[in-house]
Amino acid sequence: MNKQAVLGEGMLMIYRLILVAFIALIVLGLAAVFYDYDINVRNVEASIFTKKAVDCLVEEGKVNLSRFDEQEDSFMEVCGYSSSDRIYIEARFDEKVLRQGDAGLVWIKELFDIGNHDEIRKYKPGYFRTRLPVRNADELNIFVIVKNEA
Amino acid sequence: MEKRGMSLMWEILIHLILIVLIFGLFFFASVGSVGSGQVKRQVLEKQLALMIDSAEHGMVFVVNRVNRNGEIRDIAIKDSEVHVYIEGKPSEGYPIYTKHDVYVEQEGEGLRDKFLIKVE
Repeated sequence: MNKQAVLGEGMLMIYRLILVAFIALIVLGLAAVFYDYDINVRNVEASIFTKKAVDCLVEEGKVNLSRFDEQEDSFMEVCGYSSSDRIYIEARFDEKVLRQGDAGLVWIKELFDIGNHDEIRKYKPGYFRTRLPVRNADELNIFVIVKNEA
Repeated sequence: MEKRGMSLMWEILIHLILIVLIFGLFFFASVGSVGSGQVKRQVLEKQLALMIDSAEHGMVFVVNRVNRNGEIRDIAIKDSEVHVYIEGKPSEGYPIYTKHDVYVEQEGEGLRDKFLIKVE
């Protein structure tokens, strides 16, 4: 038996196996990336929570802030909503500010607004802002930020 | 000459078997993440979460067991998250934010089975 020939054959076999494994990795890796799709509904959630905040603050077209005198940092709890570290709601009316949730989400949102972050886009917080005219003079400003659920 | 032919045939056969084994190995390793099952599950969970978030007291949502997003094995509300289980796949859940109580009930038999999501 030609030992050199057998050795050469073995080397060739290893090379072919590595090539096949590499091709399999690329094909199935691409398929996995293609199918691993993240659906982002955080902006829609933010608009829904904005409506909840408006319903909480406005009664018959007027804003009544006296109900929230001692709960300016958790105003949604007055309306029966529990606190959540995933959501930040801020309402401004007549120089008064009411908040609910983690204000640090504002900073995270601002970070995503600066520059291009395509690689981490799936972690971008959802955002919705609205200004509503109300009967008792000034307008009501509300914005909501919803953090990534992971 | 015949011996050489036989040897070549064996060689090709062994190569083919090894190629099939390697592809099979990679395929079964990635079959969990490749496929539309997780996307369908994600779609259902997020749709239900948004509906529950925007629901008012007294609303009921009906979800058919046999759905265009797959056959739903179970829907559950756990720790303020909605979980949908499709065709044996695990569920990651999606958070809900509501002041109402949310319950899931089943109704019907077999393919006509439905899930009723009640907001009270």
